[in-house]
Amino acid sequence: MIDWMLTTVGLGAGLVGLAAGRIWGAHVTERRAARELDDQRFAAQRELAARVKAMQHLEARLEKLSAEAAISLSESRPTTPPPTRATVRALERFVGRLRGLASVDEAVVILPDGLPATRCDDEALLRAGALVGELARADGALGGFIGLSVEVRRADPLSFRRLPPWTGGAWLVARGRGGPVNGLALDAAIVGAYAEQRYTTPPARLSGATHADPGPVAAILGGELRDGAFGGVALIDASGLVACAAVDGPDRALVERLALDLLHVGARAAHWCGDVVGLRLANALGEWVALAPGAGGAMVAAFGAGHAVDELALERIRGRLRRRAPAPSTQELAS
Amino acid sequence: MSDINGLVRELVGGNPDVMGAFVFDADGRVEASSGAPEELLGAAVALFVPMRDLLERTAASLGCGEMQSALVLGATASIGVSDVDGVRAVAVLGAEGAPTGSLLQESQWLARRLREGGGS
Repeated sequence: MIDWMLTTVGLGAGLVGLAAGRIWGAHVTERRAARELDDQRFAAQRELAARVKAMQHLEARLEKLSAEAAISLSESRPTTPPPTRATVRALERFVGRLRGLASVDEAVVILPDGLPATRCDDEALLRAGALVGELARADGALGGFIGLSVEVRRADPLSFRRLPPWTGGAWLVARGRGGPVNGLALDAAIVGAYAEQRYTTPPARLSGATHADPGPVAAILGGELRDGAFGGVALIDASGLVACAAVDGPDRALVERLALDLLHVGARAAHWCGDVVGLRLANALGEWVALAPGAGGAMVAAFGAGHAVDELALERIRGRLRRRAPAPSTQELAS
Repeated sequence: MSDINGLVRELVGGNPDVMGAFVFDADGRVEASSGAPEELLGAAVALFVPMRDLLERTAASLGCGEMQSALVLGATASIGVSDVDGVRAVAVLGAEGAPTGSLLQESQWLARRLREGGGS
């Protein structure tokens, strides 16, 4: 009996011990696993921190490199200032490049006093260049002219462009080859020539304007204005302004003044360049043009509304005036 | 063929920057003139004849060849002179502020016209 009891107790104690052992073992295993998990988490956090630090280091380095690059870029910019005077070598190089353009027959740089600054054996072009002396002078009184195109009878058209300030106010005079010089090519070659142009003098009214029967003519001019083809249109005969119309942009007084400028320049261009059949003058207001309309010697001066003059609209006006006027005379622009 | 006086008048009348113009020869004779006052003309020719001689000698001595044109740039006015045929020369007097290039071009234009037979 006692043996049986002792056996039972021993067996029970063994079972309890075994269960306790298992429980302890499981606990130890769990703790180990948790510790390993913590270790892994800490390792991941350390790695993340290390990567963040590396990234910050890279960013700092990149920033430093960028700064150094910017400095070196700025240092690598040409430290030589642009030319402050028109050296003959620079001007000859410039003209040489222009002569290479397909639309340019011959070109010369003319100083503000009308004398050539580059080599040119073309007498007609040199004579046309004398107009620069008058343009440069007219510039102060009449406004900032920056370009002029002259269509000449029995010769290729001439283009005048003011050159950048470093040339000391010189102009380029170029004759087209079989047609007008490519304006875009010229403008591209003369970057900066269009800067800082503005009218400095108050508008002046035309003197001696007849204003004879301006009503019907003004109606013709005004029709195109309403279509937005022009900023202003003026009709001028030998005695002065006949009719004038303008939209909101340039007011009537300004259009009158521009017409007077155009007449003046046209007459001088005819003196230096020969029989002028068309004239374009570019200024800060846009491009404007005067062409003999064939209406009794009168001329139409049309002004772009912040854009180049609409050639088709100009032709329409000329056609209407021609139909209204008696047989055209052969009066030239220079009168 | 244009008359020499007509050519000189055309030049003076066609350019508001030109105050006067005249054609003179090596002996100081004035063949034609327009715009230039008589007293100025006498003084101008008296000065231009020796000046032209001096300039021609200078040009030849320095290897410039025959002198074709000369410009006198003054503070208030300028004068352009161009040779016609070694005997005659043209002088163009500029008004105040006249572009010098225009005076040179005008004097050369008149000299060329005279060389081509105009005004004979």
